[in-house]
Amino acid sequence: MVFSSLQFIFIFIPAFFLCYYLVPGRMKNVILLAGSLIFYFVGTIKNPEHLILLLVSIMLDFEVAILMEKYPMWKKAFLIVGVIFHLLCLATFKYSGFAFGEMERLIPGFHVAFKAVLPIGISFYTFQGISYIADVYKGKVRAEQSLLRYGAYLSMFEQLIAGPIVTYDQVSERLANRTIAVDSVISGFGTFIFGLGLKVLLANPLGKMWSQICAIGFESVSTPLAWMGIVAFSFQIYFDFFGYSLMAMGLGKMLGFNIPKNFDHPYTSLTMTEFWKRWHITLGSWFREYVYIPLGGNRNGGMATLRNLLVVWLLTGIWHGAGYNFVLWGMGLFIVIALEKFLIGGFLNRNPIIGHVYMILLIPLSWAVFQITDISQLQAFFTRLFPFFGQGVWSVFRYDFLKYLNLYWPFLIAGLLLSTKWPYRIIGKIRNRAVIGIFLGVIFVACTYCMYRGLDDPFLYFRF
Amino acid sequence: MRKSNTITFLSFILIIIAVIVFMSLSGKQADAVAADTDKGPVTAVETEKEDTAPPAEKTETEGNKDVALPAEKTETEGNKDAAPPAEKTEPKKKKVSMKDALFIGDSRTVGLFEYSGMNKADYFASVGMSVFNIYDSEVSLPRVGKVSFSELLKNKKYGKIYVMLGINEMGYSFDSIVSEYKSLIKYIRKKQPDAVVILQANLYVTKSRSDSDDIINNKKISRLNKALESMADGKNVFFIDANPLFSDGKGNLSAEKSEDNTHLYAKYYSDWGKWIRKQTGSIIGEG
Repeated sequence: MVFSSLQFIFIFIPAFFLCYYLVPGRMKNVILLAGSLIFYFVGTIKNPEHLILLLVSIMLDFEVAILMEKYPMWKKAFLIVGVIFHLLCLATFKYSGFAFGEMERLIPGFHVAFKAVLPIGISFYTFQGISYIADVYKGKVRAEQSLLRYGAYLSMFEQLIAGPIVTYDQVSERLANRTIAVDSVISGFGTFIFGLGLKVLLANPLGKMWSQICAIGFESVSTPLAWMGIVAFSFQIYFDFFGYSLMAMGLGKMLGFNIPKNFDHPYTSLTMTEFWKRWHITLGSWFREYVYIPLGGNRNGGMATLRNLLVVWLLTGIWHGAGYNFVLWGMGLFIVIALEKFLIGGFLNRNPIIGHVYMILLIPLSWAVFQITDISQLQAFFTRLFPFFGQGVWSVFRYDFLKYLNLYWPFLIAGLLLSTKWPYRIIGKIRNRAVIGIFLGVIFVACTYCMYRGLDDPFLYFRF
Repeated sequence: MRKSNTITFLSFILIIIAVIVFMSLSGKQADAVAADTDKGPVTAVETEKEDTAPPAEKTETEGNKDVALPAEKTETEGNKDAAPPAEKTEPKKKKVSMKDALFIGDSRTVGLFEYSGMNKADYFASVGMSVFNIYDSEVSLPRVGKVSFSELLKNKKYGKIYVMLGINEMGYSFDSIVSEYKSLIKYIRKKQPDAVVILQANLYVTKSRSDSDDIINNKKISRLNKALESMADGKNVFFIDANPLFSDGKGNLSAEKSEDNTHLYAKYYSDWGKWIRKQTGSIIGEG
């Protein structure tokens, strides 16, 4: 079940929250867990075994943490068991298809008839599970004594399938005891609607533009259209994910939790380093906390720092997907970030105009590597972006970019504006509740209409 | 705490058992074969999903090295549906002029307009065009302006009129599509009695789309194409089928030739255009 669907908004939300608000405090976690499992089951109904995997993950994490505290001498062994279990799940469901495919391609006669379907949300909840048992191991948090509460934490629907990656300490207090103010519910629902608007009214149309360009075939688009397309994709992936994270934050507020912010105007960054502190913030924090720092971070000299950065960015790349382009993407990010750290970062930060131009070029180019999984297609696309040899700037359809500009210019402009901080500052200053209410009401009606017409596309990050 | 944990644990086990039972029941039901029935009028959803922008293509003159050109090879392999191929030993002939050609159709015809290189022809085409809405449609044509279908046929004389419609109609009953198609041909013949009407077979979709779509699939496309073929009288109304150029040999659009499982990559439209000229030449004795 996706958030941007009529089913979720008009059936699940009313039914769930009615039960949730009616039951007394200590029963809320029961409703939260039950509702989240139903939510997940409906979303994975074609592969119900994925629900079993989630339940097994919950039980295993819970038990591992309890055992770590009960038998501290063996806590390292339990930690290894827990982490290996999660990594094995990822390896099996996320990477085995690609690995076996490559082995079949390279080794004559090799064939494995195993095809795993990626469980929705596995990349998010396995990381949450690993963070929990690592935090218990480090003594940062106490092991949760209630299976119900831990189950509610790992499965809570607002962040189960697309993040943010919420660490246990961020919700543990409120899991045990929370009050939900009416103001929070209203404000949370408002945040949810705004996120929904970004997804349905902005990300989806821009995504359609990008799909149309892909359907044309990169070798046949003009240079202006290629650039317009990758800019549209850059906006799509941002507003898709940002919208979804806002919806998660809004729902979290309605449930009585403070779900952490996941985006902080990343397209206003001056360096790639800064970008990844503003983009998918919880993922960056996770890698910093559970990979970079345990490896030594930047405490052991330049070479060790480079090595640690390389590990983090390669893992970040393949976390996003199983494919050579993701390795290439991660590697590219490492090279850029290493260069910024040791050479050009300071200069870019001191010269904001240059920094912005640098990022305006780098962001779409990095997304092109991320999104185009076929290397030969990627090559074709780059020759359209930079047509210095061969084909030239224009395509057979001489005015192709005008056609798409005519169709999509409002969305491109809206995307540009909403990538800056200004609209949010303006909205934040509005105190008149009626104005906010009308504004959100219009967004909500428009989204409902689009969803009814079938103009809702699956969220990009769902393949994770 | 221990008691509540036991209850929660047992609940999880019960859920796991229920899921396993559900999976085994679903597995039995999946063995039943789904019936293929004609559904009611297509919804806006299906039309929206089907009508993406058309793919692009290189011009004939650009020396398209990347693409295998199956046109010549496929025609000589004994394609029964297409017009007779040209003889190998024929001397080089003049290209068939498209100045007096009109193409009527949906998004694929928009693709021909944008990427086939047949720039002198007129195109009354739009994403979403169908035999049911063509009379109410208005299209902006270069050199002509924004016109309705009746205005266009009234104001300009054509020598050849190509029609390729059918995909957007797939949600309607087969008989109503065929009946509307026949009415359309009659209408065109009445308005342009001197023009040759050339019906183009609808292109297949890829196997993956065909296997997963009850409305738009190759069984239905093939059935419609056969009906279109029977409307050709060989005197004023002809039928040509470009599917062999782009199919996988098993009645599907080749998956390598499409990104969205429905439209060709733009680079194949010039091959299609060349092939249309060739077929037209054979039909009208030119070229």
